[in-house]
Amino acid sequence: MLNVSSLSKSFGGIQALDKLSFDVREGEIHGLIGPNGSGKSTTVNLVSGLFMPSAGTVEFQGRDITSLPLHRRTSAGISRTFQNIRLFGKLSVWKNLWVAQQGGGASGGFLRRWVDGGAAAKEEIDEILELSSLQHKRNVPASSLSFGEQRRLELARAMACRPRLILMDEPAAGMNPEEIDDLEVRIRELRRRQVTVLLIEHHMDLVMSVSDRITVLNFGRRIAQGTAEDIQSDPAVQEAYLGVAA
Amino acid sequence: MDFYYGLVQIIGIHALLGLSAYWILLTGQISLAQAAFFGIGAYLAGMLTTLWAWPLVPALFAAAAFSGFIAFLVGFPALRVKGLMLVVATIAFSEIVRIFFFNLKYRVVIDGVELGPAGGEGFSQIRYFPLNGWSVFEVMAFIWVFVLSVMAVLWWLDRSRIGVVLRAVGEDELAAQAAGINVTAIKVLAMTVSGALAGLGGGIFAHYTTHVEHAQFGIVLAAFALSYPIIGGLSSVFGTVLAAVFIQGFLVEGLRFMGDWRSFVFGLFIILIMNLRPDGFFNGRFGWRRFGALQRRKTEDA
Repeated sequence: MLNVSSLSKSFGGIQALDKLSFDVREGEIHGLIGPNGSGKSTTVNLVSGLFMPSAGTVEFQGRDITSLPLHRRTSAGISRTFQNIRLFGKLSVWKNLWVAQQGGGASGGFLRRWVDGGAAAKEEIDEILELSSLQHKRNVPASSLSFGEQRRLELARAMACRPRLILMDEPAAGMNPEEIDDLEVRIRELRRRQVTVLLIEHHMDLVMSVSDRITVLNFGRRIAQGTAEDIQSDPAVQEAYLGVAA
Repeated sequence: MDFYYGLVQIIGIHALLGLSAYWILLTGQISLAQAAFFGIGAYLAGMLTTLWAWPLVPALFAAAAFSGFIAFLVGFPALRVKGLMLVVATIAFSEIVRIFFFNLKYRVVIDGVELGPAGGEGFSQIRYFPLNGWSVFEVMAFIWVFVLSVMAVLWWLDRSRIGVVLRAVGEDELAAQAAGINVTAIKVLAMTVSGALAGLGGGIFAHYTTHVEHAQFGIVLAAFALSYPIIGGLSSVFGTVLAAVFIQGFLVEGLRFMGDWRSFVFGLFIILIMNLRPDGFFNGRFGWRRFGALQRRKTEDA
């Protein structure tokens, strides 16, 4: 579904990504891990279109999207969450989702789409709110939500774009163990709804238990790819994380 | 009585100018070009009715359309820069427009009288209202028909998804893009609409005063335009219109007895509002929660 081939990105003299290639299959939960500074966030930013790569291509559902800007990738079916939560703080929870829906190609004619998106669209927002356990907060401004609720709302907003693929940039950062368990349930729910997930995360327990396949980066290169068992027994991964020569 | 009718007229014109600034400010863009769009509308509408004998309403719509078009053209390069850089860019644009009108000489003899823009002396005798025998009251009603229509349309758009999208862009451009919004298109669209509204206000202004000149469309007017939505708050169009009523009616006219001290009080008032109600004086619920918060903080400190 997502094909990244020999993707490179340098910031000034720093080579953040060096000919990175990996693929994400339709319907899977794909973990992307690596030590700090290994290029995980850069990868997400390149796949979501926040930056343009120095070299290489990104293909999504058989289509080359390397030069598509961020908002067009959203309408093409890739949405994302941010490591540092970015919500529309003064808008209500409900409106945060309403805004997102128009990018995802809401039903109805041009005017309808712009003016309100129609009844079906509103029902869909209510459904997403319920799924995110945010229904009781639908009319409060997003900035007044608790940290965990803000994370849930950001994921809900990504879902409101009607994505085929969701990129999650460290969704468990700052969460307590119960919140992480809750997050895991929500990620599995995405897969049940046939949404593919690319998960960037530092919490190894979460990544190992939820991911179908995992790609490991170090110094902007891929050092391993496979299931959780494959990765854990891989000497290159052990060296990268523990600094022990295998 | 005519004094009050005249006051209500100028309040209406400034309300239109304020609404134009409101619409672009929703996207978080601080534009000081509104006075220039206002001036373009004023000159064009005035020339259309006096030199080419257009009826007033088509002339106003043409002025709005042309100002909107200029705003559209300016929007593309100008909106690539943000914050203070945009302020500087729009001031520069306003100066270009002002200097253009300073140099614009286009005199035509109509019925033995030479009419039209005369460079630095300005453009006099835009006498559509007196020539057609409009009373002051009629002119006032005419202006407020426009103000109320614009308010109604913007209020409705504000409640539709368009308003929510504009606000989303104003809050966080990156998040808006991630939500699938074409931020550049939205900003240029908002700039075009706001240019058209300013042009409409300018067109009415030219016929209200019968004399326009370059100096009227400078930085002071641009600052006034921006102050209405800032003082009124961005929660709805009503705040901006209330702010126009308050500033034009009370601070500008009402404090006239203070002479030179008027500007001093005016400035002091703006500073106070910025500190006490940073989201706008007429914003949302009319609570004094911020005063309450200040009180609490003091007692906690003590």
